Amino acid sequence: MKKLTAVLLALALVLSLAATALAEDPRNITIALWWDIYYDSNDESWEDNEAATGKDTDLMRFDNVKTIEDTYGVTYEFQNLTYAGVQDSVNNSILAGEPDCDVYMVELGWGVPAVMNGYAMDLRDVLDPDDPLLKHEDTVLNYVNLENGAVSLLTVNGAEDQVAATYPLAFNLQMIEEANLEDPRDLAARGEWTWDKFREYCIALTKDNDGDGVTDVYGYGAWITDCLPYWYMSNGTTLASTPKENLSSVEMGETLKFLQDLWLTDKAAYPLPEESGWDVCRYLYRDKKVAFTTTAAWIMANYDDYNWDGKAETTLDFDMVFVDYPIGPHGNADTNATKIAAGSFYIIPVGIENPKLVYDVFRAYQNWYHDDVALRDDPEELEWWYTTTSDKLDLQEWNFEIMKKMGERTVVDFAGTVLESMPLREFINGDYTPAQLQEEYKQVVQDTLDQIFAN
Amino acid sequence: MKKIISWLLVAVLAIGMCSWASAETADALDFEDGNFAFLGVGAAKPNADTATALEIVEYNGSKALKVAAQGIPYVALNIEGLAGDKLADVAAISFDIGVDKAADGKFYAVSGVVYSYTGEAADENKANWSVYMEKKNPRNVKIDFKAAFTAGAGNYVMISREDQAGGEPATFYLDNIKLLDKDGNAIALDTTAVYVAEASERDMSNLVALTNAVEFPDFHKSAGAWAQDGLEMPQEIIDALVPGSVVEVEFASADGSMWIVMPWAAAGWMRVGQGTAAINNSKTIAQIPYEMIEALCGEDKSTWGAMMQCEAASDWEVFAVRVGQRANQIVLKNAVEFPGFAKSAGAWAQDGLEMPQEIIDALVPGSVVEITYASEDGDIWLVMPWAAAGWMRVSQGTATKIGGKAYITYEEIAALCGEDKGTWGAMMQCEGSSAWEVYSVRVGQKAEFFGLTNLVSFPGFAKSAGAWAQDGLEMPQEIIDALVPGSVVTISYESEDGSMWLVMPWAAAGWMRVGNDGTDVANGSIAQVTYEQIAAVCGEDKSTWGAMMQCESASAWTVYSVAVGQAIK
Repeated sequence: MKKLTAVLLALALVLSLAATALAEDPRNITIALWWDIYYDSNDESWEDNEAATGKDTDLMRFDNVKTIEDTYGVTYEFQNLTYAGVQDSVNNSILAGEPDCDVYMVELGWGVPAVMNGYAMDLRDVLDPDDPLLKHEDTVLNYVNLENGAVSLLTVNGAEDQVAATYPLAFNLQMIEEANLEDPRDLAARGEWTWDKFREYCIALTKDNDGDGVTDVYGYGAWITDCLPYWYMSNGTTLASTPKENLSSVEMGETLKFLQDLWLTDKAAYPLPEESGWDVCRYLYRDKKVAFTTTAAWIMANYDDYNWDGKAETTLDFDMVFVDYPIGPHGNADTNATKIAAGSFYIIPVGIENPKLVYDVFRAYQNWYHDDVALRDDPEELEWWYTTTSDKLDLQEWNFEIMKKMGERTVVDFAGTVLESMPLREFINGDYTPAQLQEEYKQVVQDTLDQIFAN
Repeated sequence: MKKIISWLLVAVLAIGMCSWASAETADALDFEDGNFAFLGVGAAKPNADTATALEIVEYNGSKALKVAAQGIPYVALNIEGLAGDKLADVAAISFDIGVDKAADGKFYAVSGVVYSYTGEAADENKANWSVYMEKKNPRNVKIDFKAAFTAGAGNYVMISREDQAGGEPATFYLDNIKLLDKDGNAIALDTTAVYVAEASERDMSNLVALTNAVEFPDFHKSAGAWAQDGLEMPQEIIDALVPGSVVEVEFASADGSMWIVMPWAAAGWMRVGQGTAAINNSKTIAQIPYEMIEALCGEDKSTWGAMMQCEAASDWEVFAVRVGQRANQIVLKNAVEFPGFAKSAGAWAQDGLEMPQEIIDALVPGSVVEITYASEDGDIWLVMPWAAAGWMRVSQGTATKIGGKAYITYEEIAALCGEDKGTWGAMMQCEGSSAWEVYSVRVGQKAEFFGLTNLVSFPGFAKSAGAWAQDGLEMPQEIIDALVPGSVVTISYESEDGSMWLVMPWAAAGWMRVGNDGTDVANGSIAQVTYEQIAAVCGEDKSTWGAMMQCESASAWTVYSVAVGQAIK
């Protein structure tokens, strides 16, 4: 009897423990951000997202929640903390060693300092050394290279994210043809598209059509703060990516000299206006005042160049074709950065439990298309990006691919914050030599970086 | 900014006189005694919800300040009065802050801004606060100020609620407010300090100025939503109701609505101005033009009946009613200050200065002399004693006078002193029929703001951008419908250099700026662009203007709201 009682007691204990284990709530993985994103474990129907229309991809995104819950035995939840709240939570709770959330959406201005200050998990310590993310080969996620090598600042792969905020070099195809110049795309394909060749083209394309002594067409035209980053990236460098300024580098000096020569010596670039410079320069190509320009899809959409929305009464009667930036003396077509990181990024904070599980769940959420990138990058959903740059299908696809390629090599560069404080127009007009500009403004750049990285 | 500083200087002066005499000090403002006179609702920001309700309530186990508002509340602290002679030591502020759950029972993250105005120029700095998780609600927030406070410079602090993840506008609670020195020690606070509201500032957006205004005696009434109350009109009000006049109602109502009711009109019981009255952005003043009453009650005002009442779609209170002749508000463009023109004299005495070259240069056709003044009987005019045409009084008794300023046009001077300003003589003086004081004189090009009825708000138009950058929205149908000849687009904004205009990027006539060619009327907080200005560059057919309407400025800008109304002319 005693034996039976003992067995029954033991059985009761086992059953009790099992019941406790079964009753325990699954881990709820939280993702902090500052706008509402769908879907998570709180959603009960695809209609919870008011923007959804019930198309197949909406249903796939919704069904993915259940798949994740079943696969990983967790629930997950997006938490809109507001923009200020996300910053507060990053700066306070991670520092205190008890992160409020498992994943944080961040912006570069405060995300990079958070990483540099050790608030974010370095995924090299979490993932298998062969994980494709670490080699920038993952289908779903990528990361931004930082000077300390940390794999922390995650980006979400997708054609739209890649093409957004790219500023390709574009040329007027008919002008190139009329000048009997070889198509720059062919030169680029052969590795012959260099600064020297570009300069040669710009000089050849700069023309006084009516012989009145006034230049009617310039080889190149762009607002200097719009274009400068793309030229120094084509020379294999960046300006403000690390805690130490790079204005004083040799590569930057070469870039400055190249551009000053193009404007000042060759007079092959459209003079920078004193007033509303960016406004004027961004649209020179529309009036055929330049052969090459630095542009963006949103610039070409502004005046409905090729009638992307069907509302334009007239469209441009020439083609603008995107091409890689030519390569500078220190540049490398295979490794040059081609896009400055912008938008939102994600970090997994230090101090959370089982970061590998968190990474897997976050990746699985983003991979609602189950590695079928054709679903993710469906051209129908990306139509605007195609139709803004041309009215010809082959050029639409070409231009899109150039933007996409640029988006593949993204770099952090706080150039936007820095360039505004420099007298670049005066420099282009010859008020400073490249060396003078570098010397006088390197400390200004450094001060800005100190502010950013000290936060 | 200058405006803020000026009222704050007045406030600080008043505080200095009244509140430091018998100091009661505390390390923290904990509201346990129910006192919160040291703070108030800030109204300096164009988007401020001046109807914000402040109240001491029990919260989280002690008394706290409850802040409830439908719009953006700004809680302003008289930091100079609180810190007294330790003002320069104030390096940080800390406070406990909590938020209510929404009506659906859920917690939504809420955040806002701590504004600090520091230094001689009262420069604005901002730092965010947030209550971002339910388990950390309420929480303590500590903000380090970026610069030191300066006594007598109109420095102060405001706490706003500006962003939230969902739900209706969140009520929040403040408690245990401390000012800290650089070592984190609490500074002793003088809790007898008094916040002086921005009493001198009237939000005149969308309104006309009133001249010769007659007060409706004892018109202080209140009632519930859709209930009317009022008084029989005395003879002076009936006399003041003439073509070109306006009934002005100072009010508060929960939804910002207000109109008048003429219940005894021969034409029948009439609501006048329901949804169509000119109402300022602060929803504190409504104006009903005479012509609006006439259109409903008939041309013969003797048939309107003697009773005038007020009504709103929510609980309301009316503080004053007056009737006056309307005049467009005047804005000076490219204004030039007359250096040193601060004079005073007795009745019929003149005083002034020789005009410097910049004032002579500014006196051109279309310009106006603006005199900021006070006088016992309200009158002021110019005297040009050295004019070749003889010693001249200009605009005696006839100058346009609006809100402590008198305006005398170039043409009025030229009519008496001659077309050739070289003959006017260099001396410009002021004079009044009673004792007078002139604080400043400016000369600039005259532009006018219209009063606006039938205002239609452009939903969601809150944008900001850098200099020469545009941002905007596609116009909804109600805005397109409101754009008719005689209409005006009004923009509530801030920009560093005060400029603001519209951009119509999709116009068939091409990408168009409207109002940056010298035709703009903007005063740093309100800009108006007329239908006719848009038509002049985009064409008469508004269907060709394109659906997109954007704003732009020559400096970094923020637009708080855009609306279209009909100009009161």
